[in-house]
Amino acid sequence: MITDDELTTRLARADAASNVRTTPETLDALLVATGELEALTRPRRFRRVALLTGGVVASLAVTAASPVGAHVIDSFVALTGWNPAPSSEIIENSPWINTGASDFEEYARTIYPADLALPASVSSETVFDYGVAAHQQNPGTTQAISVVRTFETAAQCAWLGEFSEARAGGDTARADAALAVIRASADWPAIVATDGGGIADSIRDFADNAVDGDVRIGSLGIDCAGFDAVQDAAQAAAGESAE
Amino acid sequence: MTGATDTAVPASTFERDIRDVMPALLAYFVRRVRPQEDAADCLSETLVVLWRRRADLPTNPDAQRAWTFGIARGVLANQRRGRVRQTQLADRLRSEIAVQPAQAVDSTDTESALDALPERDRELVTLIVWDGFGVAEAGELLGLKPDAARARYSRARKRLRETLAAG
Repeated sequence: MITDDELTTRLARADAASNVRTTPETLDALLVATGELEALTRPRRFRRVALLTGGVVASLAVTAASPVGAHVIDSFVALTGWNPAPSSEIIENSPWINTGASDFEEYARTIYPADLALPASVSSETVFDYGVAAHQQNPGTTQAISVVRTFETAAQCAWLGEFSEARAGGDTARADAALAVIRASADWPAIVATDGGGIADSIRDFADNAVDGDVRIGSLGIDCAGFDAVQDAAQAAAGESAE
Repeated sequence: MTGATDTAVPASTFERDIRDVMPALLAYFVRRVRPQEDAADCLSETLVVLWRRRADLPTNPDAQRAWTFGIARGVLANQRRGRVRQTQLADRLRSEIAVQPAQAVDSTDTESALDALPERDRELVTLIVWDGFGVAEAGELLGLKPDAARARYSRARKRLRETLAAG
């Protein structure tokens, strides 16, 4: 067998990057150009334009009536009608919406995924209210898919809570069922559509490790504090009304 | 979480921090992407994600490096699924990488031995030996506890020594 030092030497020789040289100027140019492009394509930069457009659309929204068909959805004030040039930040076929619009909540109801899986202890209204409030707290222009992503992330938080609670209570079957949904969430539409950096992979890694008993919720990079607070409040309210 | 929040991190601070780690990120992709020049597009895509998430950039340099490599791992996974596009922004860097001379040393046997390792073990070894991470740091990137990372790394090196000796 070769020695450990020899192995280190051979591994170092096999480093494909050892012969690659680039100029600092080239890297710097890429960094600066990316920043400039990013600044141009950030939705907030276009918020004023979107709000002006929204004023025109508002008159249509007043006359909108149910049922919610395509022509009615088109008349939401929340729909900006903004259609920017494509970039890596933009998800195709997802309209740009103004989350500060007066009918944003009404519009959000039309895009809430009706089949979004939730634990028995969490209502779809809790997830919906949380998602709407989260976007209304920071009003601006964003794509509809990002609102759906917020609903999906809230559902993930709900399942993580279910998993943790079942695990703490020694209910293996319930914990396994929750973990199966968490794993499946890697394929939820908005998570897939907005995954720019291996989010789905981190979900699957989390599930793989959790099966082995290595539970690292932090590795998911999901901040569930806001949703957990809303869910706790909802449960407390439900408990009070039951008494 | 809303996707509608803005960031307070000044662009100049972000650029300064990322500039330092860019050569290491580029090397990370050059080591793992074929053809090598596609590393330019992976780096470009990584920068886009970093810009978008710059509010989350840790202030500690070691944590910054680990965090940026975590994002690079995600981009690499997307590249392997054909989801990283060529961009004009990366053309200049792509051209520079494309004209690099071939490696002088034939390391086919070492590369084959690495390829024979399970993917996570191979990534653990290369993150440590090529990318300069400590065992615990590399394990953290791969979702492994420090003890598990140490055990895996030791096993992987033993297997590499055996494979290379047999070859």
